Amino acid sequence: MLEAGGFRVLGEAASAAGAVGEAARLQPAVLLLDIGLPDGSGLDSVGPIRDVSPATIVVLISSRRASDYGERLSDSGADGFLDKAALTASSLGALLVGMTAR
Amino acid sequence: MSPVIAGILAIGALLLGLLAEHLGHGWDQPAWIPILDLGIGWVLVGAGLVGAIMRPAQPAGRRLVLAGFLWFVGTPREADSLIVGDLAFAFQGYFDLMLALIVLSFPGRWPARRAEGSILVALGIDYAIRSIVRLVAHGADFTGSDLLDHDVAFALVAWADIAQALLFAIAGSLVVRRWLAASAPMRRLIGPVAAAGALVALAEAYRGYYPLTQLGFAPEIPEEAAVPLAWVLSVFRILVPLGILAGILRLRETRSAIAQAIADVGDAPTSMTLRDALADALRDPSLRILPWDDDASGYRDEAGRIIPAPAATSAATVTPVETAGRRLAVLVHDPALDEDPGLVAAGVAVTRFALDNERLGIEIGRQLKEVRASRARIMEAGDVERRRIERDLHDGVQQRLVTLAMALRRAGSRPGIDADDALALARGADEALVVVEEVRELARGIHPAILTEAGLRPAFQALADRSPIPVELHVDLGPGVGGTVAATAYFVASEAFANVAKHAAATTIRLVARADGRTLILRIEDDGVGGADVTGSGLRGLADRVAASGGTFSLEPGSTAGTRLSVVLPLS
Repeated sequence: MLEAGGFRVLGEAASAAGAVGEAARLQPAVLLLDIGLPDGSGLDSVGPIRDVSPATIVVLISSRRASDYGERLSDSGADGFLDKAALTASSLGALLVGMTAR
Repeated sequence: MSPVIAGILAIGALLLGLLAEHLGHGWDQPAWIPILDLGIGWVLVGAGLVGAIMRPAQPAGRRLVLAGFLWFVGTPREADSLIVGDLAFAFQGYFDLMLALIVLSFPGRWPARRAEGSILVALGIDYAIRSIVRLVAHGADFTGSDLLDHDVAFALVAWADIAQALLFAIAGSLVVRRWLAASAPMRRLIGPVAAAGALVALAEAYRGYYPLTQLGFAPEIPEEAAVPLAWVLSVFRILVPLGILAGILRLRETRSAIAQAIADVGDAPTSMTLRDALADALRDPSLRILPWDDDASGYRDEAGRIIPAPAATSAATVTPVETAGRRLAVLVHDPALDEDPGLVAAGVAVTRFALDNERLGIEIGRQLKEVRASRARIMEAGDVERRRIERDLHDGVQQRLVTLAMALRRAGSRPGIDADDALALARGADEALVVVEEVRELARGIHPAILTEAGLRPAFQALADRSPIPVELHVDLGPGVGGTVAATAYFVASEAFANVAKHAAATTIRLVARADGRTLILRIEDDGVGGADVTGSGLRGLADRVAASGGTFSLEPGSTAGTRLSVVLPLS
């Protein structure tokens, strides 16, 4: 779906540890990080990813709403949040455009 | 004894005394003779009436009254009327028999030992023989009868008198021996009565001496000694009823001391405070209360050891204390206490009340603890279940709906798709997302995900962000605030914010939450109109929830205005 919207998917990982490893290897421009991961919370993985890949824009995604995480979202250090239900190439694009505009 | 009967008896004794004195001696004699005659009888009746009124269950009072009347029977033995004089002469002295009955029986109704009973029977026979002899001999000078020779009658009466004196001496020694053998509490009880009995025996011994002189066995008492001796014995006779009355009243005192013991142990009777109070009331320092232990099937001694039922010995009586056939304890006490009917029964009753009370208190405390624990468990189980349902909704239905929406959207954005189809698929995707929103709302009502996902502090913040009234948050929570406690605090804050918004007309809300590792203190204040009430609002259920967690919930006027809600929750 993202490919169709013009994004290129460099890699995928199924766990928090995998995400950190892939980020270190691939140094992506954007990383979509699910909060609900089998080996921990995506919220806690933002810092490690930043450490190994400082230039990456980290966007947290979840099937829960942003309000379910409250201030923990901003505390996590992530660059943005997208509700999985609303996750499309265009919504991600809009988020990234807003971010670079800032 | 009712006061009316007592009054009639008192008047009767007054009149009978005066009549007997009038018939017997007349008033033309030294004043001390009628004074002593009347005094002794009236003191007997008076002391008896007081005893009978104060201690209706004790027969000694009524018997004293009877002894008083019997005293007057003997007074007119020198009456001019031959019949009155003969009858008085034949039946004089029975008051001492009555006194002997009182002294030997006290504090019981009848003598407790066979020796004492036998003495009384022997005395009764002796009295009866003398009365019969005197009646048959018909007259004070024993000359009026052909049936009985004068000398024989004289000798019979004299020997009867001597036998009587001997019997009284034995009775007196039995009383003294009983006193000597008695334990401290019993001595205290029978002391005055035993002393009175000894005086009766002394007076009777003197009466027995007179026939000895008549029979020529003993020297006559010189005139100058006889009058003072008569005086002394008369004073003894006045002391006797007073001693008995003192004994009766002391009996009452012991009983009321039991009432005092009940009052003393009043608030929190335990077997130890009860023992001390009861030992004091019964004046038996040896008293022991051994409570029955159901679990150990034995009695618990003072050191808490389990012992079998103690055996009764000559030094200790063992009295069981039971309620509705259920063993509570045994009282181990001085056998002397058994002599006062009702004393041990009263002690047993006090013990029963106290121990039953103690047992019920422990039982209720145990049940209450159990109920509280199960209430907390039920609530916690409910919370766990709601969390589980929320998670199931999220992980199941909601995820599938999101996947469905994505699939629809993907299908709709395929290149070369018909425009109408694309629109229909996009609508389908949107509809799926609406359902996702509904499921989320439903799930949030079941359990707020933010509590599990973020914790209580962010949850408070989220509530504050949603509140139409500005909320000032002062949250300082350490670790360990989670689960049911966090959920309770969250629901309380949520309900409180909603109430303030609806009713208080406030401009700000101030929430203070502090946890110190043992308790979570939550205070929510507003500056509105106040007057909030726990009943009839959603707070009622939350107050129950707080109580179920073992916490406290209070709603009161705020420090300046509005309402202050304070909740304290223990952290387990």
